[in-house]
Amino acid sequence: MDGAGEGPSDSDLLMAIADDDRTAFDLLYARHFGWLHLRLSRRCADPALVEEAVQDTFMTIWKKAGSYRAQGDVGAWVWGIGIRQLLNRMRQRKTPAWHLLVHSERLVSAEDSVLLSVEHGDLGGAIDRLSPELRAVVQATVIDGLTTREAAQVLGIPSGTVKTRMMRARQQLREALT
Amino acid sequence: MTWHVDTTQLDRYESDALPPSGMASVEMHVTSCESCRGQVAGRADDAARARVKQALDERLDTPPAGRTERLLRLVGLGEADARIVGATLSLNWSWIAACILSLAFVVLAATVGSRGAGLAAFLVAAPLVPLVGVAVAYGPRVDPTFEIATAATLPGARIVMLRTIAVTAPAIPAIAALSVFLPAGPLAFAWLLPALGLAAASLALGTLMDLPKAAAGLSTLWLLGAGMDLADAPRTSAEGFVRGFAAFHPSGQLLFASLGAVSLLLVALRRAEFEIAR
Repeated sequence: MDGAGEGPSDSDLLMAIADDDRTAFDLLYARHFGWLHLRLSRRCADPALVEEAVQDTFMTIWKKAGSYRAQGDVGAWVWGIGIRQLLNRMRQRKTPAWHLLVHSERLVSAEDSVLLSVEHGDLGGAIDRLSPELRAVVQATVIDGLTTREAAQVLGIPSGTVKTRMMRARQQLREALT
Repeated sequence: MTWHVDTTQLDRYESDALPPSGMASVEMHVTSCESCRGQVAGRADDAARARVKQALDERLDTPPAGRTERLLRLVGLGEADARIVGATLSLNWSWIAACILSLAFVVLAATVGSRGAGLAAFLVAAPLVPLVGVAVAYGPRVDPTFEIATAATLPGARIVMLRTIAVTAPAIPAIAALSVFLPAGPLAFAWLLPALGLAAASLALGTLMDLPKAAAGLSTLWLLGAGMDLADAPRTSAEGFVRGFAAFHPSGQLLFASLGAVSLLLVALRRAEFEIAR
């Protein structure tokens, strides 16, 4: 849906940023600050830490805009940077790992579950019925796009556990759909 | 597939009121849908947006750290200190290199040349290198970054010390490395204590007068002393000749060591003077 609005598309902006164009950077910031800040705020309860992570993210975008190769959506690319910057900051501060998510009753679906849940009615429900432990793993790997190792760090569990929980979650979802 | 997040859903997302699958659906959709991102941007926390923007602008307007500076940061130096040392080195590396190169020629001359003269030239010249470093450490006339330094929040004394260390720290090991090639044994290192003593003394004098003047005055005294002593020195052996200059006597060495210690104490006591020197 890139370029649906007026003005240059996000990938055009990134190309300009790679050439040190501050105006393009400001425009990209205006477009992406809001959702990134909101979504990261769901991952960390400390607003100051979230702001630092957002700042780091846009610094990284400024430096690494050239490494965006129009592979996939700009939003997903920005998120990939943002979530890792937040993890870095949380690690530095020794913020207790992701407890927030494991214990909370929110989050998680599978890939494009918005649409699937409309058609298959129950996927959304199945996800909501997953235990918090399984959901946290699905959340970290599928929704947040972290690697098994990063997810393990974030959740404070061994990599092996991430893999087995992911397997169990998949199994439960498959059963709920058949 | 023209599903979009509506206001009610966003409200519920923000207040954590959606079921987990709904929370995730909103996130996945907003991340990749331009028009929904626009909708979220319209509701974002303006104060946070402005704070982060300001911090970003500051970071982008700060010149990027050079290689030396990044190395110093890695070693554990603070941001401001690393910038000062890095800038000092990048401004001064050319003359440091030039001084050391000249000394290298003196060493070459000393290894092939007549007895004592080359060695004496090396030992007398070596302490002047750190002295030049002190002379250019701080002050309105010699320092291209002086205007910036006065605007900095760091104390003047700290800047002077950092600069001096930035210059002497690479110069002294380099000169010491040259000394190894001199066929004079431990005597080849007789310049070290006078060098430290003179550098510290010029810093101490710098609390009374301009640093360049202090350094120039001490250099002149040093050269005069060396000239007078060596003129009368016996030319029988290289070692005897060089030791003709009192500074290279064991007693002279001790004197310069104490001069250095006393001077550093004075600098510490009178460090406020570097502020007034602005």
